[in-house]
Amino acid sequence: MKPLQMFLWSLKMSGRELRSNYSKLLLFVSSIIFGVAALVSITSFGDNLNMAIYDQSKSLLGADITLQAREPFNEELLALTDSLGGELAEEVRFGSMVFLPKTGDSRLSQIRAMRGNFPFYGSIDVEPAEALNRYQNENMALVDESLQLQYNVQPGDTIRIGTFDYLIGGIVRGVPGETAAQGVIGPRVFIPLETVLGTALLQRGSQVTYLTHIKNPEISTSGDFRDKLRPLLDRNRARVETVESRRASLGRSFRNLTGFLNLVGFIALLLGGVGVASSIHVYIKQSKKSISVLRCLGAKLPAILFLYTSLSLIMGLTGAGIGILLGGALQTLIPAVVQDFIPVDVSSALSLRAVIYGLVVGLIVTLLFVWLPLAGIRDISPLAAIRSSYEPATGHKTNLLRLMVIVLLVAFILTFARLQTGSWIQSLFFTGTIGLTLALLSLVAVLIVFLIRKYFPNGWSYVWRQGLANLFRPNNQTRMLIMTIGFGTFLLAVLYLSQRVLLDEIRIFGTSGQANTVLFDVQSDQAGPVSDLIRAEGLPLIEVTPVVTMRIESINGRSYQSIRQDTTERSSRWALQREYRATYRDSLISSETITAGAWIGSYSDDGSPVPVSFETGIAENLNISVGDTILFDLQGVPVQTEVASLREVDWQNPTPNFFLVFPKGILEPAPQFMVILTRTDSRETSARFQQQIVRNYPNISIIDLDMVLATADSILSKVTFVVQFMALFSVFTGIIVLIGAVITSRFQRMKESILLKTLGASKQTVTRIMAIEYTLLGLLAAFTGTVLSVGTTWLLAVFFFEAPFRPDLLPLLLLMLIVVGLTVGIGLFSSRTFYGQPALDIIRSEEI
Amino acid sequence: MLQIENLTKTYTSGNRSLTVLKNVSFSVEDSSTVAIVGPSGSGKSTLLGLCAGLDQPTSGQVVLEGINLSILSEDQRAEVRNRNIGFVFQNFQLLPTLTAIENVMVPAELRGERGAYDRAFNLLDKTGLADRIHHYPSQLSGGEQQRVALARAFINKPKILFADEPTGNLDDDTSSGITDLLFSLNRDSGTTLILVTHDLDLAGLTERILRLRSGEVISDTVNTPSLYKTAQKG
Ligand SMILES: Nc1ncnc2c1ncn2[C@@H]1O[C@H](COP(=O)(O)OP(=O)(O)OP(=O)(O)O)[C@@H](O)[C@H]1O
Ligand SMILES: [Mg+2]
Repeated sequence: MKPLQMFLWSLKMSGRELRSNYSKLLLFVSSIIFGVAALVSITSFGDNLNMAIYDQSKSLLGADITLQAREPFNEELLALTDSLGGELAEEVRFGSMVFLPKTGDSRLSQIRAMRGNFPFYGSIDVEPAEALNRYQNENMALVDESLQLQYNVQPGDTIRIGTFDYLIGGIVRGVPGETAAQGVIGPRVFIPLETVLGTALLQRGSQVTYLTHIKNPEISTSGDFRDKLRPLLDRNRARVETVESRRASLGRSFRNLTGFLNLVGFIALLLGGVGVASSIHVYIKQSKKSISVLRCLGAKLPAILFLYTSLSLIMGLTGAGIGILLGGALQTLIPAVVQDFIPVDVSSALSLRAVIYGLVVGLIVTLLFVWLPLAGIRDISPLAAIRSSYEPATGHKTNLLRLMVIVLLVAFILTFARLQTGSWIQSLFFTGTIGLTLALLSLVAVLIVFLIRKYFPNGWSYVWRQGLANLFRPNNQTRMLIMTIGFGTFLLAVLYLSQRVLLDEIRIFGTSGQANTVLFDVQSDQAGPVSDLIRAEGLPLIEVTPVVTMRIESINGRSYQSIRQDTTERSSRWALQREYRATYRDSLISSETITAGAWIGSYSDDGSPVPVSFETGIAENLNISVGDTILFDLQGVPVQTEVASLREVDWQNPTPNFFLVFPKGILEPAPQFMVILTRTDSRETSARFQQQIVRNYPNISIIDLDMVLATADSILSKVTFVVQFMALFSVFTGIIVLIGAVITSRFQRMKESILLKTLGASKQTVTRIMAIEYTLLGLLAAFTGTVLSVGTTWLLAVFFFEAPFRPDLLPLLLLMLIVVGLTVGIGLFSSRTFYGQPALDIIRSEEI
Repeated sequence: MLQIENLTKTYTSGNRSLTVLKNVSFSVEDSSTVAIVGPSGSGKSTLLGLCAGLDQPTSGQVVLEGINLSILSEDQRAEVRNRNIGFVFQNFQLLPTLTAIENVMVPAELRGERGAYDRAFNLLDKTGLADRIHHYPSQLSGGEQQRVALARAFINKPKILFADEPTGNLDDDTSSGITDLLFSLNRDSGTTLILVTHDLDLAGLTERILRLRSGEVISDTVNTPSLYKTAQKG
């Protein structure tokens, strides 16, 4: 046969095969539906997101250029602003307590004191809308929706910031370029700039950012615009953002997100692939006779491979097609799910690229996995047509074809993961973890089957023996089911446990029986009265720590600008430029251990460099070690220091920890503020206490750790919901694979069930046997998956999150229970048709 | 013309080896009919499989229509089978997903031929199944299935027809019907027939009987076909 004839022949034969086995074959490939749907929906969402970021990029920034610095703009920056021309808007952004007289609540908020028509592009979504035009002239405040949700404030209420009372003019529903989640962490409050200039809110030491937004569409900000400005900006410790840079950084972070989600969806597809391979394997086994007859009649091996390949392709196409439809429907839901985290309005049109992508990846996965069992066709000898009792002796030779397919498969997974993560290392890790987990699951399956066979409990009741024996019957799918169901469980459990680890890490503050309220920015002259107030309220004064802010001027005599210029790495740049909040004391605290040099606790001002201690990580970033000298700029005063020691810091310890610690004897007279830790035990005490502080000391910020925790919890669970949503596709795939497996072995089972019934077994007995089998399967899969997930999360906790890991067993047990219940339910449900079938049909059936 | 020279087949599993055929040699003239008989396990099916190129001998060779099968690859042998050989099996071996007529057409389609439908229909008509051509194997009785198999065996006008216990799975009445059909189709198309059976009545219908025992040919006798027996039975 010529290739074309072979192609036509295999198409014709596929058609005939499909005619009688369509639903069965469709079920096999339907395991890829959810994987394809996941890929298509995420890819389409990613495309729409990119398009939205591109289309809305001007409103992402709200301006053409934004300059920002930690201090009021100096001459040089003002000159720069002037030279960039156009329309200007000024903003001062800082954290401050706001007080709500109506309810008596206080909340640390992000204050944006504005002057000018910002945003120039896009618009702040305010209710009522006209408040946006009025608030600056009428000294009103626009407050974040989250304040409304939390304290039920309404337009017309009053809000106090510092000593100034503002009428709330409107509720902010959305800020272009920002996410709703940002507002939950620090509610945004817009007020007129005039009302804060020159007030105590902006005094030295508080964290204030000064921004100037520039609207000048004439200026080209693309290309090397930022690079040209860099020396000037570095000199003044300022930063510039342009539409391009904002777009690029947003694009980057969302590419990471969609890449990650795509990988989770891809796992579902791979699991589906495993299901396809296994069903096709059984299908080929059942078609063995037909294949050998075809070979007797003169069909060549390539023709038969071609036949089954085109058959699989047709089915894969159908499966992928359904997956694409499902994915198209799903991706309309994604923007709603993630809207709190995305700063743009995303459309829900299905992108063509996503469709093609889902189709191609779905087909490749189907083909590769179908070829695994197809490679075994080579071993089916035509002899089997005249003799069935002997297996051909070639069965165990290494199958080169199969080896090739495996290599291709691994290469494909590696490449796919590389495309999504952008890194070979991560791709290797991804592929390795999946491979290892699947290998372990399949090992467990093989081991269990081996053990059951070896120590078969012959003394057990008939029903139990039969149920157990089903696990190793010929053509059993025990291994494949344990792999797919187990992997689904594994994924869900890892996600759940990781979320717990992250939350526990935050929770340590709240539940350690210690501080749950932190007072920041307490001026030195306020420390005494505030401490008195705490005691008077009957609250514990847990700790008072002084903080002095400073910046690096030079290291070993080299100015920071010159070091910065030849430093290419980002992190060190950040470490050089940042503002250091240092403390001073005469001893180490429990969370610190010296790793190099010696701790020096006191300093007598004799003109020698001050011996300071750096945290090891930041020292690494700064590329400094013991003996190096560093000149700090302490709010205008130069302080020469020498690195005396490096400290390891346990950041989980709920005491204020510092990168930089000075000895006693030098910083005492410097301008400083205090961090004070206390604990409030009820919401009422907390509210009353905060109210007192805010009324008397408006510059002090209070962080309520319990609230931070609750906020983090709600945000984290939203994030994990998205990921779990994707992981759920793996579970759906597991369900389909399970249904497929039950249907595949249906005829065999029907024969047995009928035999059993003929021999006098009741329908109930038959059901119980199957229930036992599926319970065992589900238990094994869920248990192994869970154990593996605990191990994996432990590894993640230790090496990645660097957090302690205490797994909570109850939810895991619940998960296992659900998985087992689902397995039994679906198993029995898919088998239900066995009973109604007349015996004759089954005896005549060719598929037995 | 089929020539078998010193054919030996040895199966080894582990360190045990079992010689199933020992130095078997014979040749079969075109258009003749031969029966291979012998007790169960004597190597009949093995011999047939080797003759048809379904398997490779341990030593010796099979030359079919001047082609030495021993030096061909499996795919090349498949080609030879398709062009020259027809098969009838004990358990029919129809493809369950194909209708009767599609089953008959398969060998022709494998050659890439068109117009096989008419020939297939004629053959099924001859076997008396004209009204069942669109039925699936599962909808046909054993005897009907074997008739379809017979039609399939003749569609490519083979030079040699191999039949392994063609009536082994059928009752006596159905058997004689199939036997009549087999021999009449064979006569009409002038095909060489090699028939494996342990049914001596059936063997008695051929011109020559080869007896196998323990893998060796113990006798090779010329036979006068006894048409009488079939006539009486039918
Ligand atoms: N793959 C194999 N491995 C080992 N021994 C085999 C193999 N195939 C066949 N045999 C042995 O070869 C011998 C001949 O088998 P064969 O099927 O040719 O017998 P037969 O004459 O056709 O018997 P029957 O009349 O029962 O069909 C048997 O003893 C069988 O055990
Ligand atoms: Mg035999």
